[in-house]
Amino acid sequence: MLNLVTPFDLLIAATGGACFGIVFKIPPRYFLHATLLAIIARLGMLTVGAKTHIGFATFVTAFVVGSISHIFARATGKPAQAFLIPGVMFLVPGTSLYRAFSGAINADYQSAMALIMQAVIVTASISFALLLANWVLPSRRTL
Amino acid sequence: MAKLTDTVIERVSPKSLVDFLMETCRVAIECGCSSNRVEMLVTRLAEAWGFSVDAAAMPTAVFLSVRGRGQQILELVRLNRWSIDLNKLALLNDLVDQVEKRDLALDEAVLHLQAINRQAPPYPIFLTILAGGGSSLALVAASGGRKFELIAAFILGLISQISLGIFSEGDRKYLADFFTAMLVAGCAAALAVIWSDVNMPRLIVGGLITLVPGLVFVNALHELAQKNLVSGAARLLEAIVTAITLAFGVAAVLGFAHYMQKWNF
Repeated sequence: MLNLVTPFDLLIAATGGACFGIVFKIPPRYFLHATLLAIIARLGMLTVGAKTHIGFATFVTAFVVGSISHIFARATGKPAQAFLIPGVMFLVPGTSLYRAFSGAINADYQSAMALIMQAVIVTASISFALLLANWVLPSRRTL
Repeated sequence: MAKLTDTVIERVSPKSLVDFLMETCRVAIECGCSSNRVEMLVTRLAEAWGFSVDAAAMPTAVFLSVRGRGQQILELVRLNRWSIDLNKLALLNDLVDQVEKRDLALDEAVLHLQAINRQAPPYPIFLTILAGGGSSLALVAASGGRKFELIAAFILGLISQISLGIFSEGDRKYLADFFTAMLVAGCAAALAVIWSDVNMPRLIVGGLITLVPGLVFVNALHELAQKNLVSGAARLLEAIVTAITLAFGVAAVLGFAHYMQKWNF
């Protein structure tokens, strides 16, 4: 499945992870952790997503990213959220949500509905995958 | 570091503890901590100081009822701005850890909290703006954008970050998303006039990537899944309102551009 991934894809993921890390003010020491998680997220979506339904691919990828962010949190003593947010940014369906409402405003209700449903499925997959990751590897910290 | 003795713990007044907890809640929510984590946080902090607490945290307010030393105090703090600041969240995490382990006295903890609140961003502003451009570039590249679309997306990302920075200050901050969406759509429409084969919807979405409420939507469902219904519903509404605001901002500009074209301007 890895032949589906090109070095350019990894470069995009690293750029995206690093940029989202800066936008969300990740502590500079953990910059590389967040970039690595973004690469894993992109890799997951390109490999698992190529063979399966988007919801399942998102679930598997978010679970892996969530678990690794909890491992990083345990190793560094920082909140898992600090690593997780730049990592999951490639998975969140913000674009679908925006395009859905954009379609609705342009009276294209059918595609708007389809996009909303897709956004809900992807979002629910991420949410439940992160809850599962939190259950499998619970945080030692409150935050 | 020396641990605090039980005598020092017993001397803490309920009022000073409540003030500290309220400020902790404010900082935690303002830097993007989820409501259920905030509730757990204040409960554990209060217990560390020998008090019991009931907390209800929402994105817009926190209610606290603290009981102990024969007193009960009910407080409310209203919140009107929140974002994601992972650096402050990490610093707050360290502070909470020290307070919970009784390594810090309450007045020291208050000073630490004030220092966290005043903490300058870890990256200079120009780097944050460049990162906004880089995020847009990465999204457009990930969705199959061509070379000149990547350059255009980077520029739109920069414009989006600058616009957000300008409009987020002052009394009209609730219109920041709307104005930014208008600006990005206007610039994308202008680029589409210069380069006719540019994919305008892709550029607009790329330019607005740091504003689209995907993460808020995920947090909303995350909280709803944990039966944190009020906070989850509030975040869900926030995601919907933000998406509608962005869509209206873009639609307003594209509608105007459409009529300009129709009247041969």
